[in-house]
Amino acid sequence: MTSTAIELELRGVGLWTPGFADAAAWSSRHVQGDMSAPDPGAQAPRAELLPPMLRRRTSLLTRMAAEVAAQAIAAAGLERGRVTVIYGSVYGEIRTTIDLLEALLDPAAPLSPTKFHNSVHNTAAGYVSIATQNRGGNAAITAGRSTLAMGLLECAGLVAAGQGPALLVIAEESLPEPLAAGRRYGPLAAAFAVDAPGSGNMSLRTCRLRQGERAAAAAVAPLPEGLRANPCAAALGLVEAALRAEASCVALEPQRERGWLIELDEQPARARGPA
Amino acid sequence: MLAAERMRPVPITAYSLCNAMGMTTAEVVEALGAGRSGLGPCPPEIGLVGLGGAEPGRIMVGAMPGALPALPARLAAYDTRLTRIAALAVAELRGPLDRARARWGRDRIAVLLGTSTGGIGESERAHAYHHVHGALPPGYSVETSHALDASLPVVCALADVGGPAYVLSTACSSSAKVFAAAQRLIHLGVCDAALVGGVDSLCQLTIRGFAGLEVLSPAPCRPFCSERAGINIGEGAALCLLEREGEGPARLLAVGESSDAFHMTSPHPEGLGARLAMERALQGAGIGPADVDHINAHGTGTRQNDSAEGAAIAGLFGPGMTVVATKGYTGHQLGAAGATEVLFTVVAIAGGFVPMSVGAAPVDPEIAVRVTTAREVMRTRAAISNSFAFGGSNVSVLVGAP
Repeated sequence: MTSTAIELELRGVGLWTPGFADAAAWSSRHVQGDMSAPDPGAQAPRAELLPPMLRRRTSLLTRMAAEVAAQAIAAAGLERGRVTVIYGSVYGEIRTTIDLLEALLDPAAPLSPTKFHNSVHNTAAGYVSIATQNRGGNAAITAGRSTLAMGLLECAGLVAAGQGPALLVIAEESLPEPLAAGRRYGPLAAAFAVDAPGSGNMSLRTCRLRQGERAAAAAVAPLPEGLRANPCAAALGLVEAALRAEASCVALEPQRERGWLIELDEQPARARGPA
Repeated sequence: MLAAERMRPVPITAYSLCNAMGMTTAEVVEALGAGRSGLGPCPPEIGLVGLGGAEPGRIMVGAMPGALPALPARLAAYDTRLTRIAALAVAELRGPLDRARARWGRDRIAVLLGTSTGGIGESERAHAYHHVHGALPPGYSVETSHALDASLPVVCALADVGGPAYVLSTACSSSAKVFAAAQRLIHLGVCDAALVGGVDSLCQLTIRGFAGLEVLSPAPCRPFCSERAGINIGEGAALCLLEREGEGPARLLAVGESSDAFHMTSPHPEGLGARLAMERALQGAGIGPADVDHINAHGTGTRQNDSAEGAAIAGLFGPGMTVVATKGYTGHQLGAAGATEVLFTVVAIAGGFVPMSVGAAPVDPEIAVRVTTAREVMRTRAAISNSFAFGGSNVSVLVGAP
């Protein structure tokens, strides 16, 4: 395995999961055991980046993605139309897909054209690019439980190629029955804006991607029970570490003993303060 | 984003193809040279029992023309129509993979795959089974049967490589995107080689989904033809080995990516996003329109898409540009289309010809480019392969002679 580390500036983060309207709410959460949502009002992402008509017609996945993308873009001081966005999700628009599977049971039923084009993995990418008039490239990826790690590598590739800044948007809905077969977890989304080292004074943290033993990573505060099984749960730990002032190391592939890690330097003094 | 760095060209050192034209690369390449389409009626195993009154046997598709062998027992959990097709393409690359592994190391070879369907065909059967039996069928698991990334453990195991591995899924541009990602990962230094490509399999959801959009042609599709009436869905796999250094039939010069930022399913009417993608590919390679000898168009066969693409190509390259559309051979392989057509471009460069655009004659006089209606002898210095997708996702892959 390669031992070279890839340096990046982490410029801003975003987060949404039921009960936690943004990254600040998440990082200040009380972590004693399983807790109910501290903000019962935050049960739907605002997704103000999408026009209201569209917001009503898109899935929770797309709305979560739009919400955390807007948060991270604002935190990083980026222009909406000029950031390359990479979307990572394991099951993507699974609820729309299951609606289509249901419709397929009737051999004579026509499939809804809207549901069909809203079932693709790059649905959020399409809607957000239209809403922000972003004519740059984008992509939608998956690598199972390694989606966070591979998404950051994809972003690092963009940055190294001069195609940054890049924004990784991770979004995962709960898995519906019958395909879930008992797998239960809540929805979550997180976003990470990255750029080249020394690319601006808006940096939240300097960080390095490298491969190594999971044991090298710091323990992550326990996740609420309902989110632990979400295949993208590692993204929550990274948001938390990014908003703490001290240096840390996060396992991006916690399912593997040896995999990709991210080391975060101590937060520069100018970036401290209320997140 | 705008000051993109120029990355080094990456040699394409080996490739494999399987689709409606043939079960092996040799069969596919022979059919491409001979102008022989692989389109035919939809096979019964896809489970299509009706389509708005059409007889299932009369739905035209690009289906794999032979039996698909089961995966080895150790990979049985992942055994789907999709992974069987992928396995055929990996098997043909065993020799080049052995050589690349010895040269670069197993963990320095990445795997980047494009797919739009993943194992959705298995989920169709599982969901129907659940409807009758109240339980999922034995052997079905959403992680190993349905997930888009379920092809990764199969391809990584069969290829015996262990570098970064992920799936890009941007509908019909999925397996064109992988070329951009691979060139960047090699430039970044996290790998020295990448096994890249795409795989998609026929299923009800895509055929009936495109029928719902009213773009499915009941007859073999005829891209750029004045009589074109829509698309046919196809399946297949296309894989190739990109290496930091090496000898091969062609080189990946650069990839241009753009978003229309216009509509989820309709292209920008003047092909603005398509033009941007082609311009960015040229910029990335530091060459101009006059250095490109032919273009493998996205060319699906719908009236709207072909018109917009023709306008975009003519606007950038002039009306004389030679254009080939190859979906009349394979159907639209969706997530596998991009890589298949990049590799058709490689075959054309290596063979010194431009394929016939099957079904294109008589070419629509409103299309202001020169669409091939017969195989033509041509020495190609550089060629572009276009892929466009839902969400306004556009990719232009620029390939050059070695």
